[in-house]
Amino acid sequence: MLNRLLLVCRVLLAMARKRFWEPLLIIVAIVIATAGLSSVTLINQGASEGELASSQPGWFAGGSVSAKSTDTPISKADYIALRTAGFTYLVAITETEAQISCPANESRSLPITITGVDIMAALSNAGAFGGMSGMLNRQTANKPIANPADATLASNPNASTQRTTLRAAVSEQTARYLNCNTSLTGFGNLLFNTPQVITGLPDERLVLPIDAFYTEGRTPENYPLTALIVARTLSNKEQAQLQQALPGHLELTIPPTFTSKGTLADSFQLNLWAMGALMAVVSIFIILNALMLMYRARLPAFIRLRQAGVGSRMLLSALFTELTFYCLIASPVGVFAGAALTLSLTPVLQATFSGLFESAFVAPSPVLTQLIAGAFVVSLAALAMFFIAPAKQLAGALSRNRVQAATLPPFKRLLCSLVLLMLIALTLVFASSTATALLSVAAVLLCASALLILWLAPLLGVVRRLVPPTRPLASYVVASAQMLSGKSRLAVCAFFIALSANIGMNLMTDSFRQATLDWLEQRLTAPAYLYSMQPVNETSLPDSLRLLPVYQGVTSVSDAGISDAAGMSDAAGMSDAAGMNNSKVTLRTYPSPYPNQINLPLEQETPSTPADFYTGEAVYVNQQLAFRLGVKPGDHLETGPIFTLGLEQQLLGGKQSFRVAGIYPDYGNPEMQIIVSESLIGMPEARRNVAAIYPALATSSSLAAQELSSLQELSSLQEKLPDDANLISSASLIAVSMETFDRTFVVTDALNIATLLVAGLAFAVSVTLLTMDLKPQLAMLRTLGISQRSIKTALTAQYMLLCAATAAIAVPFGILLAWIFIEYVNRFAFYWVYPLSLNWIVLLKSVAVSLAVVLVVLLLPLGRLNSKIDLRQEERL
Amino acid sequence: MLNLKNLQKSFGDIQILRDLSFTLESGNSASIRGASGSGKSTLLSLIAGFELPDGGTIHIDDVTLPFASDNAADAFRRDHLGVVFQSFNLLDCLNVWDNIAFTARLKGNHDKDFQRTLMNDMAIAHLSEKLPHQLSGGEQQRVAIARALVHKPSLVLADEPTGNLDEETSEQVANTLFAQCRALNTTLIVVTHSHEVAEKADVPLWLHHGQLHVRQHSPSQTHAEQKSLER
Repeated sequence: MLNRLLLVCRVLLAMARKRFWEPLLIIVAIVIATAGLSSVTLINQGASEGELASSQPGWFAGGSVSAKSTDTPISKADYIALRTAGFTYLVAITETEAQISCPANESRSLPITITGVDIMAALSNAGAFGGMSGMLNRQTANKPIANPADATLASNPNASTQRTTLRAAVSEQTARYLNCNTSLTGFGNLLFNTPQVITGLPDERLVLPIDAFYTEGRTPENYPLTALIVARTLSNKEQAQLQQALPGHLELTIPPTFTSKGTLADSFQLNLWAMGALMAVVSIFIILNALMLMYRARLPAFIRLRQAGVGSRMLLSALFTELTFYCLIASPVGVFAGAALTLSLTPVLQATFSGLFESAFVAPSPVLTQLIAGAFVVSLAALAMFFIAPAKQLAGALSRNRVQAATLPPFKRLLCSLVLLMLIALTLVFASSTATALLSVAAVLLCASALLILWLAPLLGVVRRLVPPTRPLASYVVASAQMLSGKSRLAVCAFFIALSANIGMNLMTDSFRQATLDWLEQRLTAPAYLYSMQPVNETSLPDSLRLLPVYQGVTSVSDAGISDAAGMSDAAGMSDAAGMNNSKVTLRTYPSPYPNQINLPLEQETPSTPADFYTGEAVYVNQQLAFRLGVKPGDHLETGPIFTLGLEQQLLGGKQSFRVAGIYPDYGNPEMQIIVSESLIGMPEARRNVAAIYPALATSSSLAAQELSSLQELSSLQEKLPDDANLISSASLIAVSMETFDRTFVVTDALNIATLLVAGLAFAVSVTLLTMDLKPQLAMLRTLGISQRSIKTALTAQYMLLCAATAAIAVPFGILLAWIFIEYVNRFAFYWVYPLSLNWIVLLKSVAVSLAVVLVVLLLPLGRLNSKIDLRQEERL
Repeated sequence: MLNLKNLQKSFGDIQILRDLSFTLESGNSASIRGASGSGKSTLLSLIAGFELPDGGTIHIDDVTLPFASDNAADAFRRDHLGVVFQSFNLLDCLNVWDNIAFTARLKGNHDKDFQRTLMNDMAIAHLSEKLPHQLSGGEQQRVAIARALVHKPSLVLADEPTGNLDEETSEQVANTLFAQCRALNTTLIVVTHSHEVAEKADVPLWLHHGQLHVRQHSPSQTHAEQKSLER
């Protein structure tokens, strides 16, 4: 039995050696599929780890104890008493403002908050302070020591005494703000080595151990404790116990606990898996196409083997063994390629994550054995699933007649088409989540492929009827393309799927780009914006300018907090809100110098809103909030207390109720957001590091733009600003944003082109193999007096015609895909939508690029084709 | 008139044709027999201009081979030559009517009435709309013969036209081929292994040791062997 199997396998491998292109194509396709699979797995791993690292709870997430009045601050005795009473989850901090400078960059003097933390208490509590363990180790190793060498580097001329060197910690954003690779000075005689970056630290702070803070004459008396941080989430009972134990001059502030997760990791992973799935589908089609071609070429040999007494089961086993062998070769190569690709792309991904999503991407550490095993099993299982039916049919054939393909009569074809279209419609009707929306995408691609198989030949038949009979070669080209459409249908499908997806993605990206550009132009109404770590005093600006700060806060919205205009709770209608209890919502103000004029690009608006907005009664919500919570204009939205972004302070206590005046698009923001009036949260604590600058006398936005458009004026203004302030014009902001946008989609574009190239390659290889089968006919054409060049032109024309006909069918499905991506996938995955813009240039470009890819790939084999005339061209059995 | 003069052809050290000379009048037919590997198909390829001789010349009516350029060779084949293959080599994407019309359309002298008559004479008129794979071997070869004649060539070359057919069908196809060529006054050269087909030609030839011999039997066969074969 085994001997017979080995014998058949040897015959199969001998055939593979003879026509090595077909197994090579199968191996290449498996390599591509497994490389894609490993890349997606590793990128998702990096994204998840990054998300995990950056999703550590903030310092103030559990709440904090603070003094009711500055006259009676928190004393050391209060802290000791509370910890002794068992409230060991309290961690003391003290803070002061300082101007620190970087000796390597003497012109910069930066304001920052110096925060002393009770490190020992912090480390005994995990959670918010988890990232600080490294700080303790370093602190022990770098015990404050005299460092005269560093002292000489310091710019402080008064540093005549020895300086104490410390390693402080900062958040990633603050490290970027400090931008200093040497020691920092400016807090007494303390010298800070290059700060250690710790994820999860609050921004705008330089964190050091509290015992290092209380040196050089600083004591708890002259620098009292500013807060006792609750290091973990407390139960209601624990909250009550702490409240009870607090002395009268202290108060406990508990911010809301957000139960909803961030959407970034899920959405990103979903997106990546969708892209991976697309590549997998294309790869499977390519592999199947190669398998079919290979088996078709081997059919005579199969028949002979069967006629010689090899059982169909034996033949099937041998074929599967051969396929397993190819998977064994290809899987490790694919995994290595995928891992190498991912690691080389890591810097780009890190930049994209931090720049666009304000999140981290951790360089993945691939476990190759695990990946190879996974890739092998997945590729073999996928292939086995699709391989069984055709291989069984071929392995069972004892004569050629049994494997002739049947043609479908027109009525049945029409009926099948209607069923397929209805299937697409049904998946769209029932799409109610990201997963079902992606199922619709899959259904569109597969049903469209089936429609392509059904209609490509009739479409080419129509073209054939249009060719005049006086052009026999042209007539032959179309007829041959029509015949090839049946023989190479799987390769055509792979090309079709790649092209449809390419058109869909390009249209979606272009629509997104257009929407983003419009949105930025409408949203950035001020001529310039000022970015600074510390609030800029308006008096430092010329009289002709007006500074409008941006204020931000955070609050929570619960399921029951939404009611319609009639006051009825809308919770039942919120399909997306299921399972959300207490969602985090950010609030921000809208800096505009023109009362009763809102330039937000609103999608829906209730009448007479600007006045209500400025009085704080009405608010605008972003699409993310509207879609997730099912909010409509006119609804009432009830939120919890409002806190500062880092939850350090409560801005407004109690429940807040607003009328939703309109919904605005907020592309790229993973969070729910509300735009509120400055009258509501316009407090110094809520002020952010960005402010809009308008000319003081401007009466309209166009006039304002004119008055500040001069680059000279902006550069002269920059000189008058503090060191840490950065003035950026709206035009520059838009340019930078669009540059980031384009950079982000370079990876997607590259993947699209790669998929298209692979599909094009598969198509070219399959038609080249078919051309080899056509050789007797080509020789016959030469005997009829058709020149070599004419034959090559005819072959190129017939393949390009096949591609063009495929493209003609791919265009409407590509547009449909773009629409589904925007209206379904985007809506459910990211909670925002934007208008689909049908840019004909983008469409034509997509089709032209795909045809060019196929043409380039075809030129090499067709260029080398030599249709030598041989009278004895014998057709294979 | 077909005139071959001192034709020579070698493949490596093996000399296939040695100073081969032969003349055939227009409208006549010749059959060439010979052992496998004797150079029958090579001779046909040289006459059609598919291959170049090492020496000697070929005159077909007023055309002299080898040709000055590929274009001239293509034009000659298009206008003056019809070829019938052993394995038919029909264009499998075209139906019978289009397959036959193909050569005439290429030449630009497509005469539908003539094609219809030809198809009627060859009993394939009812197959017009069929595709090649829907035909039997005999039908396919008759279509191939019609395709070789429809553009009214001066010379038809047939390489083993009945090699893939049974005895009865061979007889029908051969009769058709010879009859049509005679009717159209087309010169015909048939390469065959079949004694019956060869006998239908005006000039039966044997290719032996690179030379053509006008005789009914192989020069190497004894009279007794031949008698035995015929029995």
